[in-house]
Amino acid sequence: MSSGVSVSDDCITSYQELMKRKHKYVVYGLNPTFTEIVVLKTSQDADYELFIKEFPNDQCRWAVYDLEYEADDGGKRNKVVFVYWSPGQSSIKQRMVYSASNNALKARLGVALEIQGNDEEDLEFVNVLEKAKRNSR
Amino acid sequence: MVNYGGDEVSALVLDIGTSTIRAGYAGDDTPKAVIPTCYGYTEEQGDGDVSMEGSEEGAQLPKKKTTLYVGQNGPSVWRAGMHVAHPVQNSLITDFAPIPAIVSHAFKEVMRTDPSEHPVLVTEPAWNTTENRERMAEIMFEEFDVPAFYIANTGVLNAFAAGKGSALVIDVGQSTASVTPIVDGFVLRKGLSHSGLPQLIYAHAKHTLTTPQPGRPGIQLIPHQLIANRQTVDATFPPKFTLREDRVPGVTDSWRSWYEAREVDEWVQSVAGVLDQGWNDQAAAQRGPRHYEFPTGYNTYFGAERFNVGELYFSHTPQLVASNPNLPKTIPALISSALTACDPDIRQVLLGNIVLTGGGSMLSGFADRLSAELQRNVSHVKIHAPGNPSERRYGGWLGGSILASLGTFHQLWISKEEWKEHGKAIIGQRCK
Repeated sequence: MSSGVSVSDDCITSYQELMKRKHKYVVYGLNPTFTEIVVLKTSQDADYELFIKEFPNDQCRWAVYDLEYEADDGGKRNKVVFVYWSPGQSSIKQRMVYSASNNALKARLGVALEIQGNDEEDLEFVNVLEKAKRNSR
Repeated sequence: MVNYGGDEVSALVLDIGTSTIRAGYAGDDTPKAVIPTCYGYTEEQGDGDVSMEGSEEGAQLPKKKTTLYVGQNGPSVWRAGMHVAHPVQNSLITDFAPIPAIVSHAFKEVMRTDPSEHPVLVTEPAWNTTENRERMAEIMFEEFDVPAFYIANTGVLNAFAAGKGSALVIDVGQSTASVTPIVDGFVLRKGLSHSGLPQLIYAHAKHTLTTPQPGRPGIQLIPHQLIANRQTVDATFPPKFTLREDRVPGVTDSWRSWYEAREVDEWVQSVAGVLDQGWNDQAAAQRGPRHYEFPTGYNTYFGAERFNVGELYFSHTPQLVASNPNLPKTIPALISSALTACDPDIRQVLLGNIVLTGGGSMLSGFADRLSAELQRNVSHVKIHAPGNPSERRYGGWLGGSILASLGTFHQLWISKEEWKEHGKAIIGQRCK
């Protein structure tokens, strides 16, 4: 079941730029008329704590983040993490439309690892890191 | 792709449950029509004219001399010789014959709208059959002449409304309790588990009420429709009322059991509860008793027994298990069979994303108890239980209402033309 909402070409372009290390993260959202997913922000800031400040407690968002971490063998790894943020204080309409559009965005970007975030705990660095490591095995 | 004039179009949303049918306009927060799913009917003796008593509500089934009484003034109005039938069982439509009359009543009489001018989104349970959903499409297109149709899964709608693409949806309805694993917006069928648990709760509550208990006699469940007058009596005193003797001979067994089910259900909803930390005689006794008054005027306070009833959602005593080998699964048992069927990686995601919905889940203490039960065995559990009662009760309807109100949803509707061209096959292709 999907919402029929479309994904703007900018979303894909900015994702490809992220893959080329031009951005550290990209934030996506629905346009005000709920017809299209658009890019809200791109950033080169690597600070994870700044990244999670991009998620308001009453608005849904998506984002991709280029996570750099140290693997168990000591080597550096990169993993692109896709975040779907839908907090309990957002409106039910937002949650419904974002959820029903989630697959469309994921499929167009072709991301492997999704983090479903409904509260701040879901997005805590340790939790996300653990999922990224498990996913890379 | 069909164009219905951009956002101007207002679709209708229809959610058919075992106890009520919810119908309304897409984009609204609550359904405009909430009517009983069951209906009353009388059968004509001999070959006289078919009665159209209460003509507004009365609709006729062709070929049978049967009069139907549907809606708020259907089963709840006493009529001599009226039977009550239940076309939906365990959330599945088992008798399609009266469905057009009931749906028509909701759309045309209650909402005063013409379904042939609106796309209609219908909801279905995860265990709906292919034949059933195709039959529903057929009714909508052929009998209601709707311009477009879509059928959406209530489990997925509830997960989406909670802001989750992946979730374990626990839906406690009037007759069925179900646990539906949803991953990336799709039902994981192998993990789907459901049971008639609410029916056991009902049977137990009825037994508790009607059999004598320490400190009170068995309670008579007499419909208010059969009571001419009654006097106010103090709590626990025998009721003083006069029966409408003229009506008693016209009471059918099915009408009486319909009434009893309703009264017991009301008692459960207003009095019963669940102990949030598991069963404990002392805790049950310490909670304050609750007062309830029956139509006969009999009224009393219910203490520990009100928790006995709710406890059945979570545990069954060894005696109960021994006396009935076919007991429906408890909520924890349903959850564990759902999870066992899923891969371990998915299990963790599901347990962190539990969505609680359905009118039955609103029993006081239910969500807390569920959390306590799960946390005993698993470390990371999160339960999303909407605090807003209409969101919990009509979660599926509300999700459908939002989806069907979207301009972009137009490309998903199955149009009448597509139905004519492709027939039933298109339902399964489009509504995944």
